[in-house]
Amino acid sequence: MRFEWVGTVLRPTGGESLQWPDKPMVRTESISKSFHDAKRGTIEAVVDVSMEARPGEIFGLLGVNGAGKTTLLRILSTVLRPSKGVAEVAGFDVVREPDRVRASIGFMSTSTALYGRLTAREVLEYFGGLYGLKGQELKSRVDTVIEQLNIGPFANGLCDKFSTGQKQRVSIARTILHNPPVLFFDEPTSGLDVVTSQIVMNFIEQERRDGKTVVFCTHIMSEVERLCDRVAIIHDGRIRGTGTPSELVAQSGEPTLERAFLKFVGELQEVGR
Amino acid sequence: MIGLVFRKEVREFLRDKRVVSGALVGPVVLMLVFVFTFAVIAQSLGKSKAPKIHVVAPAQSNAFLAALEQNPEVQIIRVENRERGVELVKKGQARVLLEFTPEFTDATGEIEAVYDPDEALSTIALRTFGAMVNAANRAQLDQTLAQAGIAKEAVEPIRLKEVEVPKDQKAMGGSTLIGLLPYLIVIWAFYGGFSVVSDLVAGEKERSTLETLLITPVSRTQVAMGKFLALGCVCLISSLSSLVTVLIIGVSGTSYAKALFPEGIHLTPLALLAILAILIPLVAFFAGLMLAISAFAKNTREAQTHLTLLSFVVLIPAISSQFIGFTEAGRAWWIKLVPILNSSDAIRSALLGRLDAESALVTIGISLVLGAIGVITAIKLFEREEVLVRI
Repeated sequence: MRFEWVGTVLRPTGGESLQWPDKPMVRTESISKSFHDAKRGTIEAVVDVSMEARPGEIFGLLGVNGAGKTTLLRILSTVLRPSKGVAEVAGFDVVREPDRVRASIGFMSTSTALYGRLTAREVLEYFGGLYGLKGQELKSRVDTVIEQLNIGPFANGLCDKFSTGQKQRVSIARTILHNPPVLFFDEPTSGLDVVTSQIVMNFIEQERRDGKTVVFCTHIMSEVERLCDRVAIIHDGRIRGTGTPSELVAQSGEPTLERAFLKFVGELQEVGR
Repeated sequence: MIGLVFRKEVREFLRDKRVVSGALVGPVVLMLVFVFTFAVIAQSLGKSKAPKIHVVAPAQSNAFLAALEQNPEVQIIRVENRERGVELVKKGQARVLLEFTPEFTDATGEIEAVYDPDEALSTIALRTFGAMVNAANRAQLDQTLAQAGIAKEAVEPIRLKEVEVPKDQKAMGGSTLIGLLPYLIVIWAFYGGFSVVSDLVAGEKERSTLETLLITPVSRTQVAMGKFLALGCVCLISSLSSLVTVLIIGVSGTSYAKALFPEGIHLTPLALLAILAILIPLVAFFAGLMLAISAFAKNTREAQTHLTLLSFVVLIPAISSQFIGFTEAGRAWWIKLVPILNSSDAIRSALLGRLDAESALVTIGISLVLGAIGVITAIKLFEREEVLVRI
């Protein structure tokens, strides 16, 4: 599959295979983000984080709640500006070229973030329009994702009436509607039942097979072991370790990824052996 | 992109029962209630033009009483004696009790009128009867003077003639409603948006849909403008629905319409255009202000708290516009500079057909400046990440 810029939108051109230059699709270099809070003073949410995710790779960000995963994803998706450092997505700087970054990414979070008073089809048409799709192209893409995710039976129902699983499928469809080369997932299986979680994970694996770059935030070890090619353990806003799951286990000298994680974040003694 | 955001917001509004009832149906229903209440009062006042006057039946009938009984402006009811009549006045079942003194001849003598000064209807009935007595005396005087060959000016050197001021444009009609309508138009311009605005940005923050929207290529200014226009439309429709309801009732030809607008409705296209020209910047002001608050708030509850406080700030000048016309301050130049109050006053002037260009332009200018400040503030807040992502 090839991509080309049409205005501010990155579009697939229908080639045979993904043709990305052999360079990271997501890259941060010593990136930091601090907030000022009247009560708590300055909060260092992300500190000096450097990481890379390559085409066709699922890169995991593993950390407890409040570790800084979501802040890092918000920086990468241009919602937040970094306090310092450099971040690039699909080769575009998140500060200088935010429009191009936004056109290159799909973002799915814990919340399904759907409009309850719109139908699934209307949500998809709305977001397709925001990504610059129009007319027949928009209709065709909406029909494709509806079929791909088996949304058809409830495509004309209001999102408020959907089950969690149905909402998650529409949310996935919205994420991939404009066929972005980079996908961010922020704890996408949180609160989902086993069946829906499997659908989400199968979808992420499929996207990797299609050559997409996936950055996947989670605190669930089994998901990391199943999905992630490489993982960064993040704690208190800092990267504590990077590598494949097996490399992290080896580096820690612990028998499992879970214990390796606890060792990296300095909590192993706290929870006991 | 602005159009896309606008259409999506409007579609959501139309499917939201709170919006339909609060911003669209609410003003119409409330206006109907007001109009029908006023109409019933007006009809009741119309009927009470011929008040009932109780009279202690005299021993001998007289020409004055006979004339009174023939007068369509009063209904004469005879009671058997004074005690019974006074009892009826005390109970409020009779407004005035007349008793002719025994010396009263056909058209000369004294009449005692018993009334209750604490009852407005009793006082009105007394005044009506007093006017009749004056008229009878005047007729008798004219006749006597004519017979004696004396000019009227000899006994009435100064006369007062009431003349209505000529107007370039007729007032809309229904003076009772004109007092209330500008207030309702202004209030609904605010409350129409009040019902939806907390959901518009603060609600999107809560549901995380705003973040999803912010990571699309659409700029934050476009998002803010799309939402601002949608909110402005709801405010404008909500506000105009009050006026349209009154106009529809006015031209309906029903008895209610005739009671409220005995001379019909006279709202010229120019007056209507002037009202729109005054209302659109005011709506922009309200929409910008409310959108900024919704963008600033962490969640819908916080937004509603701020908006409730704001509603009092809006209500004070709006309510003042109801009363300021009765005071000298109502003619003061600074009224034109007070936001909301100036709009309400200008709308009233347009309804009365006496709006001058200077007042209209100053009012529109002030609302436009405030509207621009509101929109710019909302857009600036949309650019501030600490405002948009805090929940």
